[in-house]
Amino acid sequence: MKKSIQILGALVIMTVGGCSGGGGGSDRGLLPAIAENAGNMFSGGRAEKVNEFNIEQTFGPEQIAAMSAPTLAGHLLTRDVWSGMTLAFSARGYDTYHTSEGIGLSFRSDVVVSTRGIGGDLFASDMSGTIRALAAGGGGQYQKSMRFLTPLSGFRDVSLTCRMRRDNVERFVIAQRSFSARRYTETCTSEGLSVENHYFRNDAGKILRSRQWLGSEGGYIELFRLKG
Amino acid sequence: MMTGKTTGILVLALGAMVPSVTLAEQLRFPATLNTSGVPGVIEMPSSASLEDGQLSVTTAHFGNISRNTLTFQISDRMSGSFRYSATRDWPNNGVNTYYDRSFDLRYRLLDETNWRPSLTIGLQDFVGTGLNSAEYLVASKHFGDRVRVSGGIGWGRLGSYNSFSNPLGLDDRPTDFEPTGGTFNFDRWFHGPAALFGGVEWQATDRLRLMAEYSSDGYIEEVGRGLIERKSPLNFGASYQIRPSVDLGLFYLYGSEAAVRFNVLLNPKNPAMGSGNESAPLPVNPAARAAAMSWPAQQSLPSEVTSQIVEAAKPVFEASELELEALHIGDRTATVRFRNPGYMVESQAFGRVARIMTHLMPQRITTFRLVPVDQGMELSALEINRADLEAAEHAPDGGESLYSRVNFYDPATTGLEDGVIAEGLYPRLNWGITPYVNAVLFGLENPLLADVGLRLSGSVDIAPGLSLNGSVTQLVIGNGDDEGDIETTSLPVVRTDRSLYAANNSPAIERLTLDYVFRPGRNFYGRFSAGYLESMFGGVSTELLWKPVGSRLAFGAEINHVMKRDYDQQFGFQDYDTTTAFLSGYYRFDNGYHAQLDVGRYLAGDIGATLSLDREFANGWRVGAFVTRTDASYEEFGDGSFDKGIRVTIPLGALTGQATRDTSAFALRPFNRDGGARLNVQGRLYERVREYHNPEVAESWGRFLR
Repeated sequence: MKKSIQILGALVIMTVGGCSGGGGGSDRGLLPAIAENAGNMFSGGRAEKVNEFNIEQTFGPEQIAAMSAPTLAGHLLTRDVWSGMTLAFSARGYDTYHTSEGIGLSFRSDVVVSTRGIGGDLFASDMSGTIRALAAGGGGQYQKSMRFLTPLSGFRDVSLTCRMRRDNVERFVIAQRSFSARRYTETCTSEGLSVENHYFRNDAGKILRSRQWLGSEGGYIELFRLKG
Repeated sequence: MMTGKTTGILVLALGAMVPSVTLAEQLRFPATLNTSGVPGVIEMPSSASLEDGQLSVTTAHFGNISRNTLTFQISDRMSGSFRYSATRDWPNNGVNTYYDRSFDLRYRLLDETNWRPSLTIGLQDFVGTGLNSAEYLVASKHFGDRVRVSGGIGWGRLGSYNSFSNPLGLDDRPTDFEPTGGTFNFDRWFHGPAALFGGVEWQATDRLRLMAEYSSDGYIEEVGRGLIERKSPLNFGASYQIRPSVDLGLFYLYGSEAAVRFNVLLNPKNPAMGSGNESAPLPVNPAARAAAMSWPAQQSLPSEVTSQIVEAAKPVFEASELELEALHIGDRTATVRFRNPGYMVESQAFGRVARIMTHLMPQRITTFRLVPVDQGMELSALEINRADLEAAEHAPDGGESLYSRVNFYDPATTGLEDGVIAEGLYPRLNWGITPYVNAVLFGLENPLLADVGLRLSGSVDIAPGLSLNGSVTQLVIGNGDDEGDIETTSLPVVRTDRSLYAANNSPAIERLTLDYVFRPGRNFYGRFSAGYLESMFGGVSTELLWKPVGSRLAFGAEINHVMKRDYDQQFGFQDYDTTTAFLSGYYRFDNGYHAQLDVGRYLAGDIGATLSLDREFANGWRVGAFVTRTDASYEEFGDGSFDKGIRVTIPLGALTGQATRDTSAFALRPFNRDGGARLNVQGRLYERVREYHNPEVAESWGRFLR
């Protein structure tokens, strides 16, 4: 079991056994169920390439039902690697998902705001423009900033000028279940850089599927909501 | 035949016909490394520079000549090189190959502009025997985004073909080789006849570069010995970039010789693993959420409750590549002492501990005091407000501004007397078996002497600050004892008999010491070691360091009384003992430059000073050079004249991307002799302490929230 799960598992043990009762709060992600339920199926990882995984067919509702925590499937396009990630922590409007390989992604309103462990991590960002544009169903021009950690512990900042376009409602399949959601296309540009993100948002405002740019090293990640 | 002067003029005239380019375009045309491993064309230098911080390893072979060069771009303008060359069929020191070690320095005086070439001054083999010594001024200019033209004037080797009178009027240049080598050849620099050289590089495709040059190196000695034929001053070749950091060159030299050159580039500023892919940290647990964790109501927790927390927290620390040593929970402040076996960048360790503390502490704890310890010795203290940490976790500035709100100070009084120490730490046995390689590179008679074997190492942490440390080695295979005759001088033999130690095939006690580290007072750190301090000496060693947490300056004092160990490296000693003592000054400049000056008495009784200058990158890469001058004369020192060398430390985490403090380090010395030799005592204080001080922590603060 990887480090993040070890840490969180140890925290549970500590909380239950050592701190006079503990266990309070919203701890729905403290013991990632993905490890037992779906981790092996994904067989993802930073070093492994999985060719056979199919988000539509590889597993279905029974496996989804067995998952006890909100779960995403992630497909890092530049490396063609799949990985499952489960909600490890949720606080102050941020949701942090961890993979079994120790990678962490933090979201705000289903938009990736930071990554840890991918390499060339998105260290911090201001995605408020994206979040507002999604909530408004598209709109005019806005700015967003992304900060990346350099090998020498410094930062590299990228400031993007973006627009969000409201596209059609599309139907797609995730884990043998059919969904319909409206596609939003975000186009962002900076000096020498052009990025196109996609968000599939249902009527309840939940993003069921997306393609988000994590930076020049991380590239794009496709995210599919499996549960939660 | 074209003369040097006319060629140079032709080159510059051709250049003037081609449109110029911007500096930004030049960056797409990186430096070629020549057969001497420095930026150049084929054999001749150019004015191009490697990227700041770049390391290159070059090997080149033609005829009877092989050159292996390590070049480091010390700063944007300055680079230094160490070269080990071998010329076969040239008898020297009883072997049929002339092995030569040399150092180069280059400095780019002028940058290129739209109308002016860049200009670089270079010293080649400036502290060697003089075999390869040369000096040059070279200018380079880009034309279009695919052509670079270089032309220059050389002295010494580079002024040995088609030469003319010295334009500086310095016509006398010694032509004999220095007998011991290793001294600064001031009397040769820019002396003697000069000659012009030049060349052109054409970036034919993204990966292929074609070059032609006119060489002013006459290869007089080699031609005279029949080692090389020099039919023409013109060289031609191609260089192919196999990968972005790997390049292969094939050349046709002097109308007679085929040559191959292979080089690899490494840049500590751009390691293959980028900023690393260590596991994600624990999310910060908001204090309000901790409030729901049913903490006891009383302000002062019973010690048994704190003990429970400590024991429960230990695996959390271990899973984060850290180790919990002690915890004290006060009314508002919690103090944690921790060890950092995992993170090369100390700010990252501070950050991970802070995150863990948000999960461990009740809401009423508003301040975390984080104290890294090394063998029980407190190194610094970082005090951080819990609310600030929460606010910074997802802040768009990545927590950069958080540093202005933390308190970083000397940990001499952390109030941990009534804290709880984690169980099982004292006493504790740690041990391991690892392979080892002891290598002596680039010798006079043998390029590589190496012993390979197994090392059993162990330590017992007896009490905070007090430990027993040792290692036993067993040689498996090697030729470390094949060093040939030991050349002795009037100095006592303290290092030149290392082959006699290497000849030991039995288990050897490499080190066995009782060590005590302590804090004698604010800003002071102390160490005392006794036992078999290193493979060749045993005795006692004590050290005192003054290093304020926020100071770039530190001072140290060290006294050792040691006896020479028996060659079998068991418990016996030889009939030689000595006292060595040093006063040391340390200064940390900007951009990771470290300077250290040690003044004192060395193992052979000689008195002098060692000056070291290193550049350390924030991810742990370190490249440096050192030089020692003592009252031992050049003759007493022997070959090399005085001790000097370069050293490189490679953090393994930068290669793997994983959390580890393991490093691989090596030093290259032209000669390892008795003069200027220091005791290799383990655990000197400055390197242990300063990593947890400023400016190191401040400069790497970006990783606090990594």
